[in-house]
Amino acid sequence: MLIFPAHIGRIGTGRSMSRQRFGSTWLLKLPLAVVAVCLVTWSCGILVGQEASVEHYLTKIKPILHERCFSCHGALQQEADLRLDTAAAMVGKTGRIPVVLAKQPNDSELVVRLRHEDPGMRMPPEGRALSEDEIHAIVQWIQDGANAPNDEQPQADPLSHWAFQGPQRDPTSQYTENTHPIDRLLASSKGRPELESLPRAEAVTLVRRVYLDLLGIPPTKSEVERFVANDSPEAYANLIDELLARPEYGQRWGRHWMDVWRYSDWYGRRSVPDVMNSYPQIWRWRDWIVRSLNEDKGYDRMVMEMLAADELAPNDPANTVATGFLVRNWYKWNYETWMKDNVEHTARAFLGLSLHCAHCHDHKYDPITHEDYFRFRAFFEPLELRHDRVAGEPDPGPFQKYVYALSYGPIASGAIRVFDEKLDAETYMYTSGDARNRILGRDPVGPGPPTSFQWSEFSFAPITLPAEAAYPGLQAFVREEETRAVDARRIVAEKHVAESHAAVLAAEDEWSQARQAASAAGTVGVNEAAPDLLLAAEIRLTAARLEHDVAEVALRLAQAAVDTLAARIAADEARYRSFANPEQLAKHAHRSEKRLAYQTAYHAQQVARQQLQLAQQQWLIASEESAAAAQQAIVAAQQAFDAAAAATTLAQGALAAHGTDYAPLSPQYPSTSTGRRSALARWIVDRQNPLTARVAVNHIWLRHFGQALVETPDNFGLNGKAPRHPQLLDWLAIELMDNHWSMKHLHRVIMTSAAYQRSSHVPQDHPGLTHDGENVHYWRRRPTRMEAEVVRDSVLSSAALIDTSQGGTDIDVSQWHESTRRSMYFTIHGEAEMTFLNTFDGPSVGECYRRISTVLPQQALALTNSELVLKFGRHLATQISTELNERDSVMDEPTQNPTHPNERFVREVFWRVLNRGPSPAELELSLEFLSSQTERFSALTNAELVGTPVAGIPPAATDPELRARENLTCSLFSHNDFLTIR
Amino acid sequence: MSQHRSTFCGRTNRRQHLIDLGMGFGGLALGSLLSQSGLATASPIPWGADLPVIPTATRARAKNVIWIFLSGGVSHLETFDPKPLLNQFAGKTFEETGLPNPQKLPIYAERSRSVVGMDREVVSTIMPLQVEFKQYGENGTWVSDWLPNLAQVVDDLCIVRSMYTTDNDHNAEFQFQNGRHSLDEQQPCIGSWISYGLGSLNENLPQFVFLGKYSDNRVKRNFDANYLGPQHAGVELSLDPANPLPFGRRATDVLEEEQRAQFELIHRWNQQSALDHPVDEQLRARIRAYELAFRMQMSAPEVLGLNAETPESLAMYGIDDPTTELYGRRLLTARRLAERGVRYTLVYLSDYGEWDSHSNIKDLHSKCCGRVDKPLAGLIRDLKQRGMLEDTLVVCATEFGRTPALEKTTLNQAGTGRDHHPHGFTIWLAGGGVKPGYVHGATDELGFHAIEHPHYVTDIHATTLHLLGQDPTQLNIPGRKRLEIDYGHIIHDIIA
Repeated sequence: MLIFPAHIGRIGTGRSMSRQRFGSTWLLKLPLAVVAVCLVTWSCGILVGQEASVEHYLTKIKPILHERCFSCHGALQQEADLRLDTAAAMVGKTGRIPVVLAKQPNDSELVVRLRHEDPGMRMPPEGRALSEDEIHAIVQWIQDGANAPNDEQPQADPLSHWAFQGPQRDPTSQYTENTHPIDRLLASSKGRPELESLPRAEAVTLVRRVYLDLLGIPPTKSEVERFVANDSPEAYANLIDELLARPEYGQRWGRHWMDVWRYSDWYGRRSVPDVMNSYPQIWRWRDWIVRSLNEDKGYDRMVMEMLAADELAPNDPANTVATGFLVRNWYKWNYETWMKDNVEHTARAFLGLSLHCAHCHDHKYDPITHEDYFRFRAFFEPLELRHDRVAGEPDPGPFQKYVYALSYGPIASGAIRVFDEKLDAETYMYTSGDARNRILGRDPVGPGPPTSFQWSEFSFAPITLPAEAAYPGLQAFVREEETRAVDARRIVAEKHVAESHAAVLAAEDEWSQARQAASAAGTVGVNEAAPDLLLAAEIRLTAARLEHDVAEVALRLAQAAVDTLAARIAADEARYRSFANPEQLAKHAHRSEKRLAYQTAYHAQQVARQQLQLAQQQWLIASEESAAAAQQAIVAAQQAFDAAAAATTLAQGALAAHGTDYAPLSPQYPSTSTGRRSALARWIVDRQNPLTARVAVNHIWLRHFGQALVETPDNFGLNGKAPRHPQLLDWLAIELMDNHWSMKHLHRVIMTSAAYQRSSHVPQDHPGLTHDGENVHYWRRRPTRMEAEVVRDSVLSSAALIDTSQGGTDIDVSQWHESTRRSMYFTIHGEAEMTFLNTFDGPSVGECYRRISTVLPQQALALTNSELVLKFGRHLATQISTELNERDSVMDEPTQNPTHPNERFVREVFWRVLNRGPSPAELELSLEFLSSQTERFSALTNAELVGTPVAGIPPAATDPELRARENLTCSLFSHNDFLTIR
Repeated sequence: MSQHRSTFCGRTNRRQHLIDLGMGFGGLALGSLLSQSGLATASPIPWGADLPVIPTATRARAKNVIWIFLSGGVSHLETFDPKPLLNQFAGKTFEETGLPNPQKLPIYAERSRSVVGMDREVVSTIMPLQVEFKQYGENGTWVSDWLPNLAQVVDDLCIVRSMYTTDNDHNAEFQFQNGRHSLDEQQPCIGSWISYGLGSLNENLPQFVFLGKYSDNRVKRNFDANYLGPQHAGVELSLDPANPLPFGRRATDVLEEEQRAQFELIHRWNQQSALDHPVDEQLRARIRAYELAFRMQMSAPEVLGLNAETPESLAMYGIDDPTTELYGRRLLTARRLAERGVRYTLVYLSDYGEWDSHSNIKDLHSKCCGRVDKPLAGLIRDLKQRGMLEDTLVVCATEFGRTPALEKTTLNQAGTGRDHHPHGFTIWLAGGGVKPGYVHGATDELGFHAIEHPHYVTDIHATTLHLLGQDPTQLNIPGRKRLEIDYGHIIHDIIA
């Protein structure tokens, strides 16, 4: 089904070529008499009608045949015109020559082929032979007369599978005054037992559920109170709207979709560093996801942009980064792997199809052929990565292609995206999942959806890209930034000329004074050091003059750079936009570049001359010991000067040659794109496509309820699970499409249903527990556990220290408790994730169509011993204690007696961590704990209490009462109601 | 919980069932806490009843596995598989030997598949053996002079000289653990399957432990559970008894009795919560997880503290010698873990790529051997003297061998090393029901291809599982297709 590793495949030969399947040859050898006998015995067998034998067939035989034979001899395919999906077909009742002769197992071709010693003849051809037990069971069944139910039905046509039929809107599923369509559809769903659903959850519980669901961070106490106090019938719907409008919504749901779309930061060999998988700067795709969700961009548009924004919005750098979906699959060492992952995960994420199962051979369950796999791959065949410059950031330079044995570290600027580079790329089929096994003599395969799935017309055409898309150097910001850079260098050069001139004047002044002093000394003999001072002044003067000379040349060079850039821009403008005088302007740019090259060489020559003269001067004043070294320095400087002079001559000579070529302001790419991927994207989001919307709503539903409508969200094919409530799934799919694929609309619809708002508090004797313990019919709310990121974010929120700012480059996981950014912004990739998040079943970047939720002792350790909990727990305890000291009044419920500060503390900390007040029993336990811990600590010395402080977190308090409160606060994160969303 | 529990995040969730069912919670350390909880008498939880039953295929010969890995590619030709012909033909190309050219045989292409988009440069000038060999033990097994200590225990080793793999680059390392070429869909590693299939013998410790240090994060792929989920991934234990596992240590400014009181408070809160929510299955599981967490925290430092060991014991592993101290400690710790019922310990007895001797193989390999020889021999001796070798299987593996030809290529002109060699290499096993003092399989006369009883890496997996009493073909997850190659074949010839 998946991939056959090389050593069991055959290089260059298709597997099927080496095997003989059930073919026509054996039929010719079968005596007619046998056929006749068989027909007679078959009818006898039915007449006998042995129940036990039928039972044996249904429970033992049919499952074996289903598992091992149906894919080639059933509804999907009828190799050798044979079906094994009914006994009637096997015994030849359907017109075909039989492979089962009732009561004659050893003469039955089925048994003969199952036992065949020649591996080329043995069935099934792939995988292990049936076991002796299995064959024996089949023999027994044939011996007993090959009995089967009279009404046995053949396998259904795979194209009639529910998920391959368009969704149907149930006519009764309209909004009415009393019933939400979701609730109506659930109520009328097949198999629903008679039982009363639980009522709406308490407001305190519900508001926390809604906040965590939509924002991934809990409500503050005042937010809870505001909702609880609001009696308006609109309060709940208004709350949802309010939360959907908050920017944290995009972060919360962005992380969900990052699971499905396999977000990963770059990895490979981080320690080298060597980028091999995914790519640096891919975080821009992550930010695009968050932004798009907050803007309520349609799901259809999001899918399209992720697959083909470079074709659909080529001039929109804010959206071309959406193709990070494809960049993420990039694998430097082997593009076959890139293609493979593109096919697999596009199909699983958007279509719920296991297309990758057809990599090696026709799909075993779904109507997808081996060739279909390669047709799908052809959509991606022209791909290459492109590293674009971003305004305000350094030019990342061109994307570095893979060169064997060279390593590339990450470049921390620019945007990464895909483009079609190989416009005529061809896709060749191969066998065994190994590209070396290309099927020779077979024409390349063109792009297209699986042939059975052409719900709508499919076509594609090349797309002409705007000039700026093919040549990003035409963008205004590139020109402006480049111009600013050369201008700035010229200003520096000008300044240097002025400064060096002033230095010359100063040096001349100094020299004059030194000379006067020296001549005075010569006559009077007062200052013996004067001649030395004069010499030193002379040396400084020479150096200053040389520096000034060079500065003037450098200014000419800087000016030439300014002129050349202007000439290149003018030539670009003419060549790609105005088309006036392109030839002449190009010639001018070419000449300018030559002149710039000459100026560069000349400048280098002048610098060399300066070095040479300085060296000569050094030799003049060198002591005897250093004279030899100084002499050598002159030789070296002379050589450097000669070389520079020669280069200048060369550059000067080159000035004469004419041309029209000049350096572009950025890499240049093909001016067309194949249009393959945008055609794919259109086919995926076409309303006629029965899969896309269903797959999307199932993902959304799953994350609202912790239960899916289709339990295999990445497989809606024949081997996936059937939907629990097909009408509901269809209704949601149509609702999504009818509302511009707005996900915010869908959230609103789902969350306003009674099913969503139910209580999770089940009385022990509720009949639902016996009749529908699994909650298939949503008669209650099933409590769920916070996802990993929500755990960390909620700890930070409790201390009101979470930083919800949006976007930016990924944060190193070593900062996991120092940075207060939301968890989704930390580096995550194939070789590293944050240990804390991983402990709570954080996403696997390989694939995560659905999270798991384990209960592990390591989680308990993380919630008690981690720096995160200690740091923010202690912080929170101090924070609350300080606030309590500042306020005298009683906070929560009115009490007869003045409330003890510890009680107020407990009430407040429960609100902060669990978003609810303590129950009387909890309050009592907590107060007991505070007093006994305080007592314990009071008996200890200060030194005993201090222990060894942990770096990076606040030290444990030494005040016994505060220490006890810290204990309580930290422990509260281990309360089941912290992790649990009720 | 959902009835269908096949794949979540491509992972399956067996540990959760175990915890939910309350399995393996005998002898509770915090009995005082639990006796007050009422949970001890709680009725069994019906919804956990669909736990997949994994049948035990045969009588288990081994209870624990110590799986040692030497990263970078150990030369079979300089350790356990001497080929005198290499000395005779030194300097000649394969073509010039008059023997069939191993690079022209069909299995050459079949057993080598390049990840990097191009085939490695072929080397074919024969390099002589870099070390002398002598015969040891009752069966006169050849062992290199670089392994004098292992030579002394060769009668306890079972050497397989006919391994092959299909990746000619270092991803073969991960292939050795998970059975798949890195270009194919990755699978859970063998340790995770063992964890999944057998569960734990000691609930106070993780059932799959990784011991090692590495400079390259890719090493993590050696203990990746893939779709079996994080609960079956190897837990990295550091050798520092004060800080053995992630979050496994009480903060240094928290007092022991202080934390004990906190645990008690947590327990009481959650117990209270259990009264309020009588049908919350997750809550019950979490209460148990807390019990286990506390015990884990208490017991891990004891296991890792080597001060209970005698000086003789430390010396046996070479811990008294700076050259062998590091690896000696790892192996001694592995023994202590096995002693306490950890099912599977992956000991990474090198840094990533430590053995990768593209040049100066003589110098590098002799040093590499020197770092592991005594500790490995010490482990075998120690297990034997404690009677643990009976039911502890030791596997000592590497990702591939090294070329019989010397490496002289465009990028490496030295000509003093050997290149990667997936076509034939040697590993050894000991204890746990394998034949002692036995050599199985052979490479050809030049040490190139594994020709007699060739074994792909999953054959070692199959054999290991078989010795643990498991039928490898029974380890499956609904919705996850495993291939024939993943199951491997049991090497019956090496089983005692």
